[in-house]
Parts: sequence; C-alpha cells; structure tokens
Amino acid sequence: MNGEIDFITTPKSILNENYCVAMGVNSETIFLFWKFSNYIISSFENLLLDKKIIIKVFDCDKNTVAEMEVDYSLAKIYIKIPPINFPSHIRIYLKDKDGNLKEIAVSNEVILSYEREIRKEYNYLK
Amino acid sequence: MKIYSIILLHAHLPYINHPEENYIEENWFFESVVESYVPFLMMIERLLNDGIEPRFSISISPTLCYMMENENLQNKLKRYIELRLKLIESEMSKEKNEKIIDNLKMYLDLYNYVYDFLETYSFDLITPFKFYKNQGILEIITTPATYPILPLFTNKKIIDSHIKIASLDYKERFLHPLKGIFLSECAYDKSVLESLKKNSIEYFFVDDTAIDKTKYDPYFLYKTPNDINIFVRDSISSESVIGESSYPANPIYRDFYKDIGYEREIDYLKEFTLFTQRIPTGIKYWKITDLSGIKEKEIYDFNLALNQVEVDASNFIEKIIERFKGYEKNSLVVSCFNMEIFGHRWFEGIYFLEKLFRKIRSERHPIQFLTPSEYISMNNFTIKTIEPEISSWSDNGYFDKWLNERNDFIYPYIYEITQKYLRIVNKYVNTNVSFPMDLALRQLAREILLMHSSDWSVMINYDTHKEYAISRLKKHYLNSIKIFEQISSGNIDLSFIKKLENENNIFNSLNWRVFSSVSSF
Repeated sequence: MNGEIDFITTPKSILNENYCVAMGVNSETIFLFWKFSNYIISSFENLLLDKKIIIKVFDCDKNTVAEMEVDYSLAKIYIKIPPINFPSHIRIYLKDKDGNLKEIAVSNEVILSYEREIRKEYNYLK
Repeated sequence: MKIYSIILLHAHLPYINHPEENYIEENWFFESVVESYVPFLMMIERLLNDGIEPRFSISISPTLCYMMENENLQNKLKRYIELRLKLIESEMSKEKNEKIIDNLKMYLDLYNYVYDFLETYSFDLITPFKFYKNQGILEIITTPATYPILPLFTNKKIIDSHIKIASLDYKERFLHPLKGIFLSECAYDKSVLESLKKNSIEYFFVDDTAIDKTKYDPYFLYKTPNDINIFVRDSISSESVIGESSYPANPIYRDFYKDIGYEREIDYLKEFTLFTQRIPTGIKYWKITDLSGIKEKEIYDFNLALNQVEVDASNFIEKIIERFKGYEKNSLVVSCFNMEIFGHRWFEGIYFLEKLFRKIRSERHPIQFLTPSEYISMNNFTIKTIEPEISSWSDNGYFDKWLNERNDFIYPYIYEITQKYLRIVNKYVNTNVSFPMDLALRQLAREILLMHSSDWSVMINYDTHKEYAISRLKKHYLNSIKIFEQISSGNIDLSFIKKLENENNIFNSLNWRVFSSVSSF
C-alpha cells in the first residue's frame, strides 16, 4: 500500500482486517464500505468462499429492515431504506461452499433523520 | 417589541500553503483578504469613527487563522497586491473609456487601502481581528480543527480530537477560552454533543432544518439535553443574501464572473498573475446587467450600485420588522453567512452590512444587533430543551454534497489511515518517546487532520479544482504512510519531517496524545 496509489476503492486493506463502515448520507440513504483481510480475499479467489456476500440492515430491535447480496469486490454500496428515526447498524455475512452464513463484519451505529421537506440550496454561491 | 439579531459571518478556507511553488489555489486566500476580510475590518473602523458600535459574530476556522499568520503566505499576499496594482496601472495607461477608467480608479483605491491597512499590521490579519474582539465588537469563535463534516466520522475519538484541538488552538491564539463553535457547514448529529460539553463549549449553531418547526419556534434560543445553547439559523434572512432572487443578483451590481483574466492576451496577463493559465484577476468592469446572460454586459457604475445598496438594506430591515409584527415576545433572528460572500462574491456586500448598522441607528428601528454571548447573558428567559435532528446548512439539509458517487472513493482511505494512527497513538501514549518520534507522531497527526477537511470532497463533487483536491489527499496519505514506516522501523528521517512541517505547519503545539483512547498515567 505504499508507492503508487490510484485512489480507487479496492478490497485490499492496509489494516488487513475485516470491517465495514456505515455513513448516513441523508434521511433514507446509508453509504457502506467494507474491506477484508488478505486471508479472506484469497479464500474468495480460491473459491473456498462464495464471492457474493450478504448485507443486512438492522434496526435498534435487531429486526432486519433491508437485505441484499452483492459481489465482495464491489467494496461499497448505497443502501436506501425507509425513513427511520432510530439507530441502525449493518452486518456482513460470508457464504461457505455449503451455503452456510458466517458473520464477518459489524458496522458502527448510524442514525438517519426524519424525512424533511427538500429545500433549495442556499449557499450555491460557495 | 424588540427584535434581537445575530449576524454570524463564517470565514473558512482550506489550508493551502506551498512555500516552494505558486499554486492557483493560493489565490483564494489573497482574493478573500483583499475583497472581504480587509474591507470588512475597514468598514468596522468607519462605523466606529462615526460613533456606531457594530456587533458581529465571526467563526474563523483554524486553517484560515494559520494562513493569516503564515509568513510565506503574507509575502505572497504582498506580492499579489503589488502585481495587481501594476496591472491596474497598465490597464489605465491603455484605457480610453471614461467609465472603465472610473472603475480602475476604484480598484486602485481599494488595492492601495488594503495594502496600507495590511502594512500597519505587518501583513498579519489576526492582529486587527483580535483588536476588535478585545473591544467587544467581534465575538470570534472557531470551527472543528480542519473543517471536517463531523457526522461523517464514525469514531467519537476523532470528533473529540477535532473539537479539542480547535479549542486549545483558539485559546492559545486569542488568549481566552472558546465559548462557541460553528460546526463545519452547520453539520450536526448528536454524536458531537459529548465532545462539545467536554470542551466547555457554551453554544453552537444549527440549521433551521434541524428543528421541527411545527413544534418549536425557530426564533428562540434552545439548549441541548446536556445544557449547551443552540442558536437556530434563520433561513429566510439568508435567502435575501444568497439565492437566485437575492440582493446580489441585482443587474446593477458588479458581475463576479466577467473578469479581464478571461479577456486579455495570456502573454500580457502572465506578467501580473504569474500563471500561464487563465485565472480571475479581480479586475472586473461589468455589471450583472442580465442574469440570463443574453444581453451584452454594461459597464459597472459603483455609485449607482451604492444607491442600490441603500435600497436593499432598507428592504432587509423592513422585511425583518414585518415578519415579527405580531410577535409579543422578544424574538431572535440568527443570520449565518459565508463571510467571503461579502466583498468577494457580492462586491457591494460589505457596504450592505455597513448600511444596516447606519440605518438602524439613524432611523431608530427596533432591531438590536448583539453577539451570542451578549444574548445568552441577558438571561431573562427560560430556555427550552430540544434534540435537534441530523442536519447541515447545505443542499437538502443533509450530507449528500460531501458523500456521493463522485467523491465516496476518498472515505476508505481516510478511514484506514485514521484507524492506523489511533492505534499507533495508543501504543505510544504512555511511553517516553524520543524527540524525533514526538515530531513524527505530531506531523502524522497534521497530515491526517488535513485529509479530514471537507473541502476536498466538495471540490471533487463540483469538479472544481478536482485534480488539486485529489493530489492533496494523495500527498497527505503518502506522507502518512512514509511516517508510519519510519515510526515502525525506528528510523525517523528528521529532514523529511521538517520539510513536511514547513509546508503543512498547522497546530504548532499540537499534542498527539489527544487522539489516545487509553488512559494516560
């Protein structure tokens, strides 16, 4: 991770860890990015793991409010959820050869605000 | 009935300092100094000379404060003004049109006055700001350290560090404890509250979208559950100054975009701008004329524009009084603006502010301008507790501008480098580090803090100076990686660290231990 960098999201991590980070964009969108350790990445590449990962969004009572399956190398996703006014978090699961799910990363808590009237941009001059 | 009014002018620029080269982006600072900051201070001087004591609250970001104090930038600023004066003289020697010559005389006066003003303070702008602060005319506050969008940071330690570093820096510079903070772009979520309290912040500002207006009147002061005062930004008064049908859009006012930097031969200009690219020079002869851009631009008339300022200032006051006609209680209007709008974007904006104060005095309007601390200290009202919503003062009131498909690629880099730093700090916090190691850990903090600035994501989002923004992020990232390598090998290259210190020299007495999440002993 030294020398030339392209500043394009890659699944490789300088931390060499499995993690995901959730960021609230607006009242109904969470931005999630994730990275996996080199060991997990080689497991994907050697087909020991399904390259599709499962992403689940939970509310504060641990109910699933959204679920999706994406390629691990995507490394980021915008998740639209109904406007909620409570904390939620996201968990990522891997699928082994037999289709069993294993939790690999849990995000931070993210709070979205209630949906408000969209207003025009005031500081367009900036 | 009396209407209380707070005008908060928010001054911020990203930290841009290149001691060994000239960058176009450094001009943002010079343009703001010449057109906004100095004319603003000169306006205060004029009012005081006439016995009128204005009141402003000003948030100056730490990055801007460091630019104001930076000797390299002060020298470049001096050269910038000198070259502009030469450009004006050159234009005058060739110009035949009397109306354009009038414009040139106006610019000659402006640049000469600004030069003389700066020379009085040895080109250090913090000094006059401090002077008016100590007189009680200005209430100066700060922003989070390098102007990050705090709700986009998931680690509370980072939020806390930005507030703590800014607060300590403020105290060191202004010699008083910090009372208030302007959260970068008014970006708020409740994760900041604990840090604000820990750092003894007495008040902050939220956008009016942060409160449910069906339940709460936005024209009052509120407090958070942990007892911090909340000033609510009035979006209606802001719209008068910022927006397509606002005062600055009047066809009589000076056009911001049509600049001789885009009209004259590049070979002629480069002697004055020092760049071979086309850049604005600040010398503009045209009025807006027609917003649609169809009509040919007419020559700007400063005196006519000043007459319009008079009309607009009266209208602004009348509109506020009209809005609060039925109010029995004393209400509070909090108008927050980017300071660079006044003078730089809206050339006549400084005169507009001046007219407000003059008119309220001479026409005895029931409006009382005051600072946030003065309002809080009146203490003759009960302050309701509210829990503001996630909000910012931009776009749709959220964070889309700083986080979207055009700029999201920066966040994993920022996250990883920051996490790595937090771990290194925890490793060394309770050890007696060597002098070189201390310097390395301190410079590493500066490089990472500079990556946190929200300016880069905005520049990438709007595709304005995008390459510069990406190059800065890459540079700070690679500098950090190099320092990490030196720390883990134990071989600190002091000449490398010193070189970085010279360029990215913010937060002189930064204590890297503030990033630690393990207890010190």
